[in-house]
Amino acid sequence: MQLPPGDLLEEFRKATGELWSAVDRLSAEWLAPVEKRLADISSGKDPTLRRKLINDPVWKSIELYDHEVLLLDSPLVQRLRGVRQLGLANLVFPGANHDRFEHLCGVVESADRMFHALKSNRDSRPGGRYPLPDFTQSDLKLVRLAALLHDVGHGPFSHAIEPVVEKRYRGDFTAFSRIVKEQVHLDSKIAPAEAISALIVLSDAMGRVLRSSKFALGIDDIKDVQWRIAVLILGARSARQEACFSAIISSQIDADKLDYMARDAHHTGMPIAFDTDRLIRKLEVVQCTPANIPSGSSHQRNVEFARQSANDRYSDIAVVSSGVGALEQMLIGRAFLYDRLYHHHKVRAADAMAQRLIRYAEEERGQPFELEELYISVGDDTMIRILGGELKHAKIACGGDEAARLSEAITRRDLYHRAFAFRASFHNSLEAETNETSARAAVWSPMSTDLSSMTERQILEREIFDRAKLFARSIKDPVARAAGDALRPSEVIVDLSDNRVKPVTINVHVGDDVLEQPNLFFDPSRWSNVYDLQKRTGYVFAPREAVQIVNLAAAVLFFERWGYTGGEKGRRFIRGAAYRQEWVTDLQEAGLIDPFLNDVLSEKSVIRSYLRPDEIILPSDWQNEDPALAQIIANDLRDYLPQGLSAEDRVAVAIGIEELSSFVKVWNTDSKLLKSNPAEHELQTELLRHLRSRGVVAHEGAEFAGGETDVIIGERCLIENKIGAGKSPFDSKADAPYQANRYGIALCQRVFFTLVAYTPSSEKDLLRQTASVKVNPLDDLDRTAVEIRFVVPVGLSNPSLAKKPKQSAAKKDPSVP
Amino acid sequence: MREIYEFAEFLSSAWRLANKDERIPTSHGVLDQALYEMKDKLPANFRDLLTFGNTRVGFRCYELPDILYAAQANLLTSEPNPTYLTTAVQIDDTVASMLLRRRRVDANLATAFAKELFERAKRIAKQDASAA
Repeated sequence: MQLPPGDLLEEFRKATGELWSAVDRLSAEWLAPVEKRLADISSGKDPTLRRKLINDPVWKSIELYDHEVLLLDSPLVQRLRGVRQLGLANLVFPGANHDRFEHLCGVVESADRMFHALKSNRDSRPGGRYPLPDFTQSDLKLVRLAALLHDVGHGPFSHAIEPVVEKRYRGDFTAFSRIVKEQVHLDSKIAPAEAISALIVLSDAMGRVLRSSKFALGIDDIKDVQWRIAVLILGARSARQEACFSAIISSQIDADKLDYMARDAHHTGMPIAFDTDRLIRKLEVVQCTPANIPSGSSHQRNVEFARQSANDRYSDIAVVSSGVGALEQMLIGRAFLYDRLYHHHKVRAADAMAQRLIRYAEEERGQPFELEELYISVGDDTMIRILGGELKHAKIACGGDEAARLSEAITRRDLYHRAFAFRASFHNSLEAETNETSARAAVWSPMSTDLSSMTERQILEREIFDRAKLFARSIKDPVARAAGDALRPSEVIVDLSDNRVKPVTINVHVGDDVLEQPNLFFDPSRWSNVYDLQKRTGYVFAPREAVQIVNLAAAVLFFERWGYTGGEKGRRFIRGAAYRQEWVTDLQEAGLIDPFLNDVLSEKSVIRSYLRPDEIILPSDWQNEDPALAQIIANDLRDYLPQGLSAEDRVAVAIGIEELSSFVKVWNTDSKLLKSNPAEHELQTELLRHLRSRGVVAHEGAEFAGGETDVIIGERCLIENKIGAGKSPFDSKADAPYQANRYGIALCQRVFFTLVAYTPSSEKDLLRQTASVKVNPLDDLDRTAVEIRFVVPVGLSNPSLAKKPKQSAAKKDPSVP
Repeated sequence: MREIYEFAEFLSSAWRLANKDERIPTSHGVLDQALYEMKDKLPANFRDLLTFGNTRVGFRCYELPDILYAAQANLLTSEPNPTYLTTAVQIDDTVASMLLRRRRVDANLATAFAKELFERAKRIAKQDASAA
């Protein structure tokens, strides 16, 4: 239900409790001087208020109206001096000292130029099918105010502080987002800083300021004014105002991006040219209707929005055909800015160090930071010293050893270095996979998911730290020992960016109200998205002296946890931080790694992963009866397959063992099956029934290598069924694995399963369930291959035997006679 | 954020096991509505993750855009097709099973869920088409 602005503000107040109160108190404090000045102006005490013209490196000159100057000169905006636009990127790009204050002024100018370009292009065009917005003076004032206020919700270090604030007020942010999305059309997620900016605009203090005659916004209901500005800041579309004005402030091509891209490129010295002036001049306002909205990711939502708008249409911004070149230039430039600047490894290290500084400062003082502590109106440099305890501030208590170290390291620009780099495309040994993308996803997806959590990253950081210390003690090289001794927990940082490049979906106006997607030659938006995902790289950072020992610890842990091996590509990315080979030998001699891991770390194997005991899932009573069984199977596989398994095969083998052991267990407890004398196809039917009852995808009779396979689980796990004969079920049907191997070659498989039904000649030949599985090497074949054989008894005259499996001598309790 | 990635793994894996090479609908609010209808049948650990609401552009699952992005970022799905209406699942059955096991999600439940989800998505798309 659409609420009137007054009710809506009350809804926000109720739903966002603590956050609303904190923002309201801060807004009252920051805007108090404005309220006082407004009172002085009305009483004639202050005649000095007037427009200002500011010189600017991007826009050359920026004009601010007198009511904007009131806000500009308030603590609300002035506190953004020193809050750098690019966080700690200035430690990498020395020119990147521009701050949010400078950016806000630039966005006002950018928004003003966009507004006037749209108005001018509207006036110069012949009338279209539908009337276009009026572009009134009141509209302009609202747009400029939204531009001026759009970033006032930022705290120190720009985005680095957002996770801390989000964690503290998570419920309130969620409630805010929910209400906004119920009231207006908004596709994107609301960042904490955006939400705080909007809440500042919605605060009581801002309401009192905007009510002043100095603002003269042409709308009587001030709460409506506040809500309209908030909607513009959030880039949402509301039925209360023309959607094209929201697009000016926050959209695919908005005043914010046009300013920060040009400003960031200018201050960092990046030779990336944006033809901003041409792009702005080539923007037009268009009317979107269900009939002319082109297909695209937001097509249906846009159509729905049009249908719900007055007269089935809404206004939007489009670029004209002759501006597509400037648009492409912007999109490509933006992709390079992300790659070379925002995702630069040193910038990531500096931002990650700032995040950890806040975290350690919080941990060491023993309580979470409140918004009013983090937003104390100081610049980044001062905040770093406050968090480290070097400077004291009345409103925030800090000071602990780890925070002090991090603070000092940032202040001295002693930034951590890349000790380990990981990326989906670095993972090697996948060339032989039948489905390389799937195999890569098998390794990358769990990594990416686990490391999307700050908590998981912190756990991994600690594990890497512990392992590095442990390794260092066993390595003979004094360099490694010294590095390990000096390493501290706060000096290992795991980072994986989720800061994605959002796709740009602006339409092209080709004339006569016809809109198209801007893919005249290629789709720059999709290109930049794919480019970004391809280059998404995670890092483990550490001090320079510790990079090699941390690299070794990280290599082992990433392999152990996810089967990830970065190989040569990963090493090239970290420039000399790779561990020394002789250290690996030392670790093996000390018993800290086994020969297989030695091979992995020495890159001797082509296919490097192997099944771990904890990945082998056996029935729980089997585990109780023979706790070492999983380890034995894992060891046998490792011994017989020194090259290890591909990621996909590892999974397939784990599934095969789990499912067949479950089948053996069920079989052994079913007297009907134990008594039966099945033919091969009946055994197969029983197996398939069992697998399918457990939700396992299994096929029979698939043709490979000129024959028909018995059963395939998924797409890789091959099972041959046999009815055995002879004394031992593990000796019988010796040709079965060879037959399986023929199919296995076609399936690129090195491990096959055989299920053999056998008839014990006497009670003493009936095997315990835990003895019903065995790994057999097939080393007389022309390649390394392994059979895992499971056996089930059949033809028992006395099925009760199965209920009381014979206990092995080793398991017998010696105290029982 | 982690829950979003885990749900992306669940959705892609369950979809693969249940619906093989069928593409996941990513537009028109089809999946939003289908997920809403199926929310009580989600595995317990995902039941509180998804939130829905009537917005000015119709009924939506607020988390779905992030979930679809996470699936792509994790290489589970392809980039959307040229019309951005659907996406292909890139993993095979084996990897799908592995991901579900890793997140301790029952493969039977997941497969049944995704099968019904697809059926509902087809019905919703058909209804929308006839309404248009």
